[in-house]
Amino acid sequence: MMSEFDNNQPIYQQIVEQIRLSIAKGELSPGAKVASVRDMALRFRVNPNTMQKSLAKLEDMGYLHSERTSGRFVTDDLALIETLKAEIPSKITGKYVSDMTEFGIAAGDIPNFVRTYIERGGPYGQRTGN
Amino acid sequence: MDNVLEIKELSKNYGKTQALKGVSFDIPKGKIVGVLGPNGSGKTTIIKTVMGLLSDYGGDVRIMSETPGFLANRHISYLPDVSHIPTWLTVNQAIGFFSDFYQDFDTEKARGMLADMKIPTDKKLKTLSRGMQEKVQLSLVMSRKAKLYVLDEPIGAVDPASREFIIDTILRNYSEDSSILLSTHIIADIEPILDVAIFIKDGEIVLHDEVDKIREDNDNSLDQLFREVFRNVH
Amino acid sequence: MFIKQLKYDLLFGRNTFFTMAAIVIGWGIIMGNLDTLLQDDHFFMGAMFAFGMTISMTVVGVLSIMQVFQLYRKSLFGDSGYLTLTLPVTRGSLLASKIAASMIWYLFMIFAGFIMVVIMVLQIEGAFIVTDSNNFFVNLLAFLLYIVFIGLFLISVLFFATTLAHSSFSNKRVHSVVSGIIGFVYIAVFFRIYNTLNQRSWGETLVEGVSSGGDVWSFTRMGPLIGIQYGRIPVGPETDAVFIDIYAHALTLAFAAAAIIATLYLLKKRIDLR
Repeated sequence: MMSEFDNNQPIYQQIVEQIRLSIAKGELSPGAKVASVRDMALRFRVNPNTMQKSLAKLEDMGYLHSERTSGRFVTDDLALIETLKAEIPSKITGKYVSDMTEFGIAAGDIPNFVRTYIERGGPYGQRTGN
Repeated sequence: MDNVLEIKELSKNYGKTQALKGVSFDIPKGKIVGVLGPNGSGKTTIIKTVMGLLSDYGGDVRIMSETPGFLANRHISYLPDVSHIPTWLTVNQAIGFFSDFYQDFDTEKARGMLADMKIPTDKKLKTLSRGMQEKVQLSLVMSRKAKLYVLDEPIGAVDPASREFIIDTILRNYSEDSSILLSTHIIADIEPILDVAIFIKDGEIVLHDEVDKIREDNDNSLDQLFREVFRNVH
Repeated sequence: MFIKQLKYDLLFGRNTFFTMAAIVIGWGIIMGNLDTLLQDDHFFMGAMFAFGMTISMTVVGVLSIMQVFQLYRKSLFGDSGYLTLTLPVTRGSLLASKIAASMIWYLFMIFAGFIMVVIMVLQIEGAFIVTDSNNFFVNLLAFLLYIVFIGLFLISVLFFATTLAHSSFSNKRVHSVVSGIIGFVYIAVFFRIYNTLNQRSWGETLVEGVSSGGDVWSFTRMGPLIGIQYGRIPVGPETDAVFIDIYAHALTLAFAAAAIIATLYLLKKRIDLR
């Protein structure tokens, strides 16, 4: 779960995004118990206060909730998770499209790139087998 | 007492040179504070003053309300940037030493850390490699339940794997009841674990704020900002 | 705390001083058997031998003091100083422990030197018929008193000079030399006053039988018993006495105390570890 951060952006925000992604991917199952702030801070290699901020934000957003005595848990709200799952592909797509147009590819040509890539099975034409 | 460390108008002159020109800052409980600056900027002078290794200074320094000295030292666990544990001691003897002199030393914890690193405890420190010696020192220092940990250049001269180990050790031993003051000129690795950053240049504080706020205000990482601020200093 | 510190301070010097003691005694064995080694029964002419012994003892004394100085310097001002000076113990306790450990090792070396002399002398026929020799034990005690106090004095001055060299009074250009000079001058002044006060050379101060007249402090032997007494020095077939020069010893202790107090002041108020 630990990864490198972009020190140019607030780290707590990046952690929020990473955890949301984990939930969307199913790495964190609905209702699963979340480790303590200290353990999470250690895993992500960040300041515990920063981690606390991230977890609080995720609670605000509804992705986590805490039971006073038992700790923090991933939400049970499957609808919320589905919405999150749907968000992610469009986010990724948005970034991809913006990167491509920044590079100078015309928006209309983009689908061709995508189709060719998938048909070829990779950047240099190897078949990766779906 | 919410502040573990309070420094007011700390100054120190060496002849005509002003090493510190009226430095002031506080460290509250539960914070990890980085004092960042190039060599010679005054970081080590501040630390030596806090530790009682420098007696002639102007201003006021209080650790848990005590002035620097033996009473204050009960509350501080110090990792200097030299090999300070006598190397003629074996690892076991070094553990015994810390246990003898520090009431807050957790022997089990220290032994556990050393066992995890597979360090032979019956060997003299001088027979261990430099990297291993530093790990032993770090383990002993972090095995105390101190109110203030003072780490002078903890990741200075080590390889990346050791840096990770050191950062992990610092985080693992963090507690809300204690604070960490660390000084360094290598920012990138340490950035994510800091609450507060203090930039020191030529004996003066030029920046003192929460790290996230600094990033937002400057739209930059601490590391980048550091390079800009200290561009002409080496 | 003090006992724990003493334990480590003694441990620090253990290897060094055990080695030195072994060398000293080895030297004694060599010197004590020179006649066998050189196959010459007439080798040791009295004067040469006595000279060699005095030199050897002096060398032992000097080397011990130098080693003591090194240990103090390294443990307080070397890299270990970052640990020693930040321990939760008072500077007074630190200094006391270092002085105590130094004195213990110093006396240990003196004892080794004594053994060396005994071995060297053993080869001389009749040198050790102790019960016949006049004043032997009381002289020894008076000698020891002198050794201990002068040793304490020299150690204290060394500590002071070393501490001065690492205090905020010194800077990179100046430190050791000036401190050394100050220490040397202090020692010279002491011996000047010491000798003037006593109006005799230090060699004579060592052992002195005083004819009775007036009350003085002395080590006195009556039959098998030895004690300290204040009073007239007894004279008689079963008694020996050696005058204890209390003014000399008091002076030594005073100068040592001054050096120690000054060192403590520096350690508390003027430390600057670099």
